[in-house]
Amino acid sequence: MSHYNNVAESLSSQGLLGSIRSGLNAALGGVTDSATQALGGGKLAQTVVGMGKSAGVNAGMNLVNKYIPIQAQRAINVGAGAVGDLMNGDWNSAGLRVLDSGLLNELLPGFGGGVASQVAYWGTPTPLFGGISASEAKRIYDQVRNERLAKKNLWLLEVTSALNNGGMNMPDRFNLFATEVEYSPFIIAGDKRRVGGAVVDAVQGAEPIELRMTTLDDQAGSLKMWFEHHAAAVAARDGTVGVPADYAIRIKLVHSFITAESNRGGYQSIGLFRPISLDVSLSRREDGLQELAMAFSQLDTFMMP
Amino acid sequence: MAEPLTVSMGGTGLSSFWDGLSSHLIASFYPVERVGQSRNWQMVPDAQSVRAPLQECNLDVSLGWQSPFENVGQSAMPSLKAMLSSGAMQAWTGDPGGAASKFVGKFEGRTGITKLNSTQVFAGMTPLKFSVVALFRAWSDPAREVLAPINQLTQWALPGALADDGPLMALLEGIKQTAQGKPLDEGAARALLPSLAPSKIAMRYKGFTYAPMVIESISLPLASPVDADGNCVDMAVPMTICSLAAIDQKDWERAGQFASTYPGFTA
Repeated sequence: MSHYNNVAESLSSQGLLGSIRSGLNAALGGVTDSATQALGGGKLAQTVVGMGKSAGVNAGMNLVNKYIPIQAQRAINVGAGAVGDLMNGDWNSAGLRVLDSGLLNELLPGFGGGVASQVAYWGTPTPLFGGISASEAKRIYDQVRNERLAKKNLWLLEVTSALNNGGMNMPDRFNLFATEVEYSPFIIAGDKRRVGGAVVDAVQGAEPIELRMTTLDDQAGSLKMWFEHHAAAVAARDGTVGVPADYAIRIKLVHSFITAESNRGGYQSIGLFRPISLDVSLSRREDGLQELAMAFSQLDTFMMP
Repeated sequence: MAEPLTVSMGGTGLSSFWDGLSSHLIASFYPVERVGQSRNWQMVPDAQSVRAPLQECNLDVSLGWQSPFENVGQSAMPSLKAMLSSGAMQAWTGDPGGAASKFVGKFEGRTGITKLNSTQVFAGMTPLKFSVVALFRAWSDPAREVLAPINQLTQWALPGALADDGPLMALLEGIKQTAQGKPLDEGAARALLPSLAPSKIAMRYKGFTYAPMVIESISLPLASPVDADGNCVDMAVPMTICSLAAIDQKDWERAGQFASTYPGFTA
């Protein structure tokens, strides 16, 4: 430990006058040790020299008490303790030590009182902030404000498939036209089995995801055509069905970012889906954009795209 | 630009593509044959295996216990004993409180059942019986992923070959072949048992090897959806698979020894 650390630790824990007492003890201790050795180091010599040491320390402290009033001594101790805290890098303790002492208000009656009341406000736990101080509430607020929270209107959608060797893909249009996406990324199914008065949870496994998407469409009906082709690839009009390798739709959803270039590690869900249904609602009651409600069901839960 | 759609595919034997699914969920079926003259069984060399996840798999172990002493001592005059036991004879004596009535009353509430004649003994057991539903689903090629493995299972379930002629003709054919210089034992076997039985198979599932087994029944849901070429895209095949013989504790232990040279039962 360095000399700086020694001084800082001493001032922080004992205050200036405590440090003076320690210093006197240490200095006189060195002298009395020498005297004890000179007198032979016996028990009598130790007692006599120890009495002299106590007298020396008391005489020194009496001098301090005589020339420095007790009020000022307290101020010196508080100040020295605060200096010690600052030297230790503990700014909080330094400030609180000054506040707790009430010294600021005594030394600076007008200015100090205002500051003290402000500081007391910021440092006092209050029910208005749920039992914490205003400074703690501000710290929490700042912490939340500094987080980059995910926004629900920022996401990137990518819908592709191998149908017609990818000839049906139009990922940019899908991303442009999609207005809402709803899905539950994880669904775990299980049973609750009753054993006497208790219940045992028995997990069955993961359930396939059902993804619902609302999109706009162009006048040519591009997205409706896209859905129709994929639906026909799953179940054709003649009663036959297709194979997933042809109709599987890969849906990738990146959260919080709207372009692949700006994506900085955003959370993403990728899965293979097949079409379930397409809902279209037409109405002449108002002038509005047509919306398509598409529903997709996840293929095999174990298959990774 | 979107990444191309790629689905990794793999696996050995006749199977659908189940990449990503735990191997513990996939059962393997393969034909087995006797190792020489021993009671151990091994996979037929160069044989195809069929792999499929099982939607359902139930193992039934039925053990026969009987009470052979149940009627010992009860067969003689059962009606008279029943009347004595029930106390119905007391009214018949016509002497309430008399000596005859007291004598008959001593039998009321007694029975001939003892611990000995109610003791059960093990009288045998049927082979193990598995009821499974094997799932086949085509990812890209129904003929290879569904049709081929189901054809293989069906072939294992069916007799290897059935002789065209009756037993008398088979006997004559055996004599004829022996006369032509064929070994006597082969000729005799062909003469007495002219047809070939279905294959014995093994089923490996969740760390256990069950062998030798036979397919007792197999159901093919032929009305399953088909693709444009008429091949079934998805088929769940129920089967009943039985062990060739009843098993004992050691057989069960051997079935769980996956790394053993000849895992499975002895038969």
